[in-house]
Amino acid sequence: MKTTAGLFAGLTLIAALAAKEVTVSANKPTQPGMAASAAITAAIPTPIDGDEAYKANCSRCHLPPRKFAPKKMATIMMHMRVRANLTAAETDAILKYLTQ
Amino acid sequence: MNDIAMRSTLRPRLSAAALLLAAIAVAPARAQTAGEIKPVPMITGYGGVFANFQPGQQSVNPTITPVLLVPLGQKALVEAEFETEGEWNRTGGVWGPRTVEKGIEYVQLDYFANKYVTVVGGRFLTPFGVFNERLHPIWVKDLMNAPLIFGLEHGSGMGGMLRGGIPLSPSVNLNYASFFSANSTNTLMESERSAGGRWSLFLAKRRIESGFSFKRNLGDERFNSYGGDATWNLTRVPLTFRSEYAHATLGSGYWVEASYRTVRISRWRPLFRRLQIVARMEQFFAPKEAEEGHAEEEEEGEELAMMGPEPAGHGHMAELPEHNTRRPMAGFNYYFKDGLKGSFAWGREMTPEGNQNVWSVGLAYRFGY
Repeated sequence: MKTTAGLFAGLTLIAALAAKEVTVSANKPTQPGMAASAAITAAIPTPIDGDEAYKANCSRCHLPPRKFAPKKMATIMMHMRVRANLTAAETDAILKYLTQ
Repeated sequence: MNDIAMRSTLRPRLSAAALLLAAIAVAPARAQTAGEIKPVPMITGYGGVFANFQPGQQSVNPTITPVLLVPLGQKALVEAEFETEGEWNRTGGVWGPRTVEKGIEYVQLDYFANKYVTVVGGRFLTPFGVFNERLHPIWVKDLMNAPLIFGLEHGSGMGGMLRGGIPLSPSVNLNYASFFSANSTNTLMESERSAGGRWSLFLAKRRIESGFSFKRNLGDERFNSYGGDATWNLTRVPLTFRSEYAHATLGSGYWVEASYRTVRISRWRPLFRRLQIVARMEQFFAPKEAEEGHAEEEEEGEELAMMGPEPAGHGHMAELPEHNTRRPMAGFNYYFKDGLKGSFAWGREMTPEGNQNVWSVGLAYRFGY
């Protein structure tokens, strides 16, 4: 029981720390002189290609699904964000790709 | 300025104004960004029928599985899947009674805590392996027959879960799902006390995912289950490889599957652009005690043993085989239209009891309103 609880807590902690690390590293300049450019870079998130994200993530499990109205597609993408463990950025990029 | 001169001056201005007004009137509104699209409640899901044929035993399984999705703003989602599966077996030439199994696969609240973490509460599909969580719907899976090891991972938990995806680098994502489940004896929502999860690395550009699953049963019987899975979608050809391995006290086994869309075959386009060819090899290793126990039953001449092996992994609510079993299968899917497919498969089931052919046909439809 203790081993299981420890493993469970450990893996969850690693995931949470990893999430924090990604967030922090995106805002932390590597050199003092790069502070301004790093701030600008951090302010502009790395764009995700919706087409690529769609093909890479959705094809892990199924063929291209039928298209729905944008509002329904937004609901389906919330569902798929959970099911396929997508990040918020991937979810937005795929939704944008599927509704435009 | 005379009338003619005035008209010649005004005409172009009026025309320009009219064109401008027309342009404004017909111009589309500013394109909505993904974040501005408000999600709405909807019902989606799938239905279909699946028939399995083995010597001396046939079964027909109709199923309907609606999924309710209710967004609570853009930060939370309530989702529920209710499964109804009928079963009608024919053994030794006699049709048995029709039975209907009902169950709530999941009814959960998802809260998107931040970009990388989703908090899930309620009843959820156990994140052990990929087949149970992602591939089990009949409109998704490439072969209608569930893998032999499906019984090791099939199930739902009742409790809480943290899950999401974290970009470790521009080309690698960590996918994770860690859960704790309480015991439930409710007939519609049975679950066992357990903890575990699935963690995978996903190389999006290479379209390769490799995962590890672990589950610790914390009920009266305490035991560990673990497994691994891999998926590879080739980018240059429409070919996908999937595989899973699972180990538990109830047995262990693996499956390896390849599916190929024939869309690039230029001959007989109407046929090949809708066709998918699938092949799977799988094996199940029964625990030694079960094998020995079954051998004793055979020596005593019990009726159960005389009936032959149970059909293994044929439907959604799969049972584990009683013997060591090996089963190569091959088949195809034909996509009549978007969301509607017909499936056919043939396999050879090999056990110490003997070998037999397995045939299956099915029809699956995915809907959304």
